[in-house]
Parts: sequence; structure tokens; C-alpha cells
Amino acid sequence: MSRLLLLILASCAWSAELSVSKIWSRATVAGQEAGAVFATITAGSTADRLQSASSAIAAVVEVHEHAAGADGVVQMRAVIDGVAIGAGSTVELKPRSYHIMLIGLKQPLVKGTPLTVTLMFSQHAPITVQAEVLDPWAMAFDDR
Amino acid sequence: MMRRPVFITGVVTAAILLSVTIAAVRLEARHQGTVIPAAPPIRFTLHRSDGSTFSETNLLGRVHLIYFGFTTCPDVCPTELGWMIRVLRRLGPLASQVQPVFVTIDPERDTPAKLDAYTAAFDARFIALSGSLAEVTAAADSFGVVFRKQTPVSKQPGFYLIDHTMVTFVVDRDGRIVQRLSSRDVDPESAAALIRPITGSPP
Repeated sequence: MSRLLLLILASCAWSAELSVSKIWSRATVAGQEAGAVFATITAGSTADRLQSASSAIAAVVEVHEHAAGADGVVQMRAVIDGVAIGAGSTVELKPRSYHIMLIGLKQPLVKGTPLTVTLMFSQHAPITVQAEVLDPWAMAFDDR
Repeated sequence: MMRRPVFITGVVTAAILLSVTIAAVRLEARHQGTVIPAAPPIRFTLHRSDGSTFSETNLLGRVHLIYFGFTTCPDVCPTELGWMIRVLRRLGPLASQVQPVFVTIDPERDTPAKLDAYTAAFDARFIALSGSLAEVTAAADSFGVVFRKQTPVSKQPGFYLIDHTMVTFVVDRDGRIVQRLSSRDVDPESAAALIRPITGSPP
């Protein structure tokens, strides 16, 4: 019985960890200055915040959001306070929403060649992940 | 005593004027209800990557899907171009009647070579258009596209993004804008259904 309790506790502790999945980007062509990384982030038992990101492939990496006015004019702006992720909640960085923006690409993003990105959080320790580079027209991680 | 007829005449005149005005307003309302006011014709002079001129006369005889964007746009433009490709796929054999066009609103950074490589990465059928900033601005105005260079806020020196209208214009074989669509509002299947009827041969 106590062993079962331990098992349950262990599984709870496991699920309480922040996790990042479905990390992807779009291929770019030579000379293209910017790219975007998308991912699904699920917070653990405590609320967290994606504060910033970094990658050796770009001069500057920023967390951006997409905003559209009623007149159809769209803008992308750096998120100053980061992206809030409630305890146990999932936030999807996706097209026309939040994304990690790679500015000043040092080399093109090539389809099939993974990209290393480190995500910084307000609570959790930094997490280094591999983003899969998909077609330029990809709309989701499974879109291939 | 002379005041009253003048007063009556005034009232009658006012009543006539009022009824004429109401009738005119009604006529106007009826007119608006049945007749779509003709959009001002598109006028522009832009250039293909080989330097050749491409203007509104080049739109005649073929349906065009026209989108204004820039290659440094990391999210919105790939999303919209990807959507255009999906619309073409849904059109099947009719896609050969539809020409996708990408117009840069960033001629300062988008060189012809960069534009060609960028659009070809999406689909070889794209026509990429550019021009001087004045030519691009005039073309955008003609389509009702708004674009504003952002004040650089990035830590990357000199880097800027451009806020812009996210609309794909469907231009019919007579060179008229017949639809303003966007990946935000219309899925590729519905967009293809809207475009399909205008691809046919003229009567």
C-alpha cells in the first residue's frame, strides 16, 4: 500500500515539471534576416513565465506576439513581460500568436536540420531544446 | 395680414423639400442595396525581378491572388503565402488559371534575388514584384493596403519590422478586385470555392 502511494506521489512529482514539446520552425532562404520558433509549453504545478530565449544561430532572439487591428493591419511586437503560463496550463506558441523570433540569422534555417534554442523562464531553470525545421509554409508541428 | 400666405408658402415649400429629400435618401438607400459601388480601378507600375514592368494591364485575362508583404516578416507572411498555396492545391486543375503574386512593401531590403528565392521556396508559380518606394507605395494605395515601418525597438541595430494589411486580393480576369480574403478569416477550401466560379472562360 505504501509502495502504491509512493508510486502515485512519484508520478505527481513527474507531472509537476514544466515541459516543452512540438518545437518547430520554418525553413528560410539565403539572405532572409528573420525566422520564428513555435512550441507547446505546459507549466508544472507552479505558474511560470517564458521570459526570453537565445540561440547561437541568430544575433538577437526575442519573444514576440501578433496583434491585428480591425482594419486588417497586423503588427508583431516584442513581449516585455514574457508569456504567462498558469499552473498546469498549456500555452501554444503558434502562427498568428506568440512566437520566438530569431533576428539576424547567421545562416539559413534548413529543412530537416534541427535548431538549438534555449528558453528562459521566471521559475524553471533554462531548458535547451531542438526545434525541427519544417517547410516554409508549415502551419503546425504535424504539418509535414 | 400679408404674413400668413408667406408663412403657408414657406411651410409648403419646406414640406416639398423634405419629401424630395426623403425620396432621394430612399432612392440612394435602394441604390446601395442593389448596386455595389464600383471600386476605383487598380493602377500600379511595378517590376518583376528581371526588371520588366508589370502593371494593371498585365492582370487582364487571368485571375490573380495578390498579397503585399516582406521577406523579413517571420510569421504573418509565411502564414499567408502558405495559405495561398493551399488554396491553389484545393483548386486542382483550375489552379493553372490562377496566378499568385507577392508584392514587397520593403524594397529597401528585398532585393530582386532575395524576393525570387523567397517566393520560389513557397511555390515556383509565384510572381514577385517590387519597385521604388514611391512605386510600391502607390501600388499599395491603389489596393488599399496600409504599411508602416515600425520604430526599431529590437536590440539588433537597424532591424525593423513593418506593420501591414494582411489581405490576399482576388483580382478577376477583367482586372477588378472581387474578393479580399485572409488566412485569418477563410479556410483554403472556402477560399477555393469563392475563386472557382471566376476562373472560367468569359462568355
